Amino acid sequence: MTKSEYLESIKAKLNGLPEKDIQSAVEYYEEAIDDRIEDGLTEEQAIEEVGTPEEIAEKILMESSIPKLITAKAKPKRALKGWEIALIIISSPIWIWLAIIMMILFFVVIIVIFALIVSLGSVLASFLIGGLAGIGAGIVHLFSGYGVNAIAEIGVSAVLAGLGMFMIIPVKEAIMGLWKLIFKFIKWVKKKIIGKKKDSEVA
Amino acid sequence: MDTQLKRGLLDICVLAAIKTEDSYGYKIIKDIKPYMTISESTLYPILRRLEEAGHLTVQSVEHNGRLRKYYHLTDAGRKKLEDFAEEWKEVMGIYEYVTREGNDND
Repeated sequence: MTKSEYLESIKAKLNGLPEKDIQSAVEYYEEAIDDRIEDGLTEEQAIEEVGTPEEIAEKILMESSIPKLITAKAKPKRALKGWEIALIIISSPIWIWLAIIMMILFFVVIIVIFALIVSLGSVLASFLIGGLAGIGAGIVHLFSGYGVNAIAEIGVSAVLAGLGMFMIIPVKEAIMGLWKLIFKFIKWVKKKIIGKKKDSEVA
Repeated sequence: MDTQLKRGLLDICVLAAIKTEDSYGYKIIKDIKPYMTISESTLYPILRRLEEAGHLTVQSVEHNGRLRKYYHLTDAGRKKLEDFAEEWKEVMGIYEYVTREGNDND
């Protein structure tokens, strides 16, 4: 494989990504090869050392955002003809809608997970804050002469606060689990889009 | 090594490689080789990520009739290195505790 064939192959594997992302990658890998040739390697050795176009493209794609990947995947793989562009202008092509639907689905899942995190946190906060505030209010009421009612108020509030405290650790664990789940989900979606087969070293 | 840890350490190594002077891809790989092996395909996304995070800036400089991209450490990048050093002081303390010579009876 010559240098230009190699760079062409990288370019083809990144097809669909924004033009400037592809440009930047091609420039980078051209420089990587040139630097090695300058260092005394042959073109072939330089290419060998820099890595296969497959692994290069895969790592770039795994670092790209999901909206970018979905657009890249959905976009037609060849240059559009003049009449096709005209058609796109008068009627949005199906792939735009597919890409939009996929992105909405993706964000819905993320939002649902976020909503779970926020609601778990809120439940815990209401127990703790409600309990502590209730105890405070109960003490004030006790001294303002509400007697038995105030003591009942303190008791109920203490139960609330106590339940809240019991919940701190499980809620914290659940929130951390959900947070990790978001990243796992993003990685999973990316793998699905890229069509990655093996779970190679992530770095 | 744990992949998450390795990922974080690679970022730090790349920033450290441009700490004293601006550097370019191939040189960064050679400079950090004694500490961590890194391929071009791994380095490229790291450089992009660090650039997006504002930890480094990129500048194209003419070299032998072609352009070469030089990476420059920003103040934010320098701060990240300092934070890392600070954090790892603590880790080193734990390391010493874990690996201390056992003087007790075996």
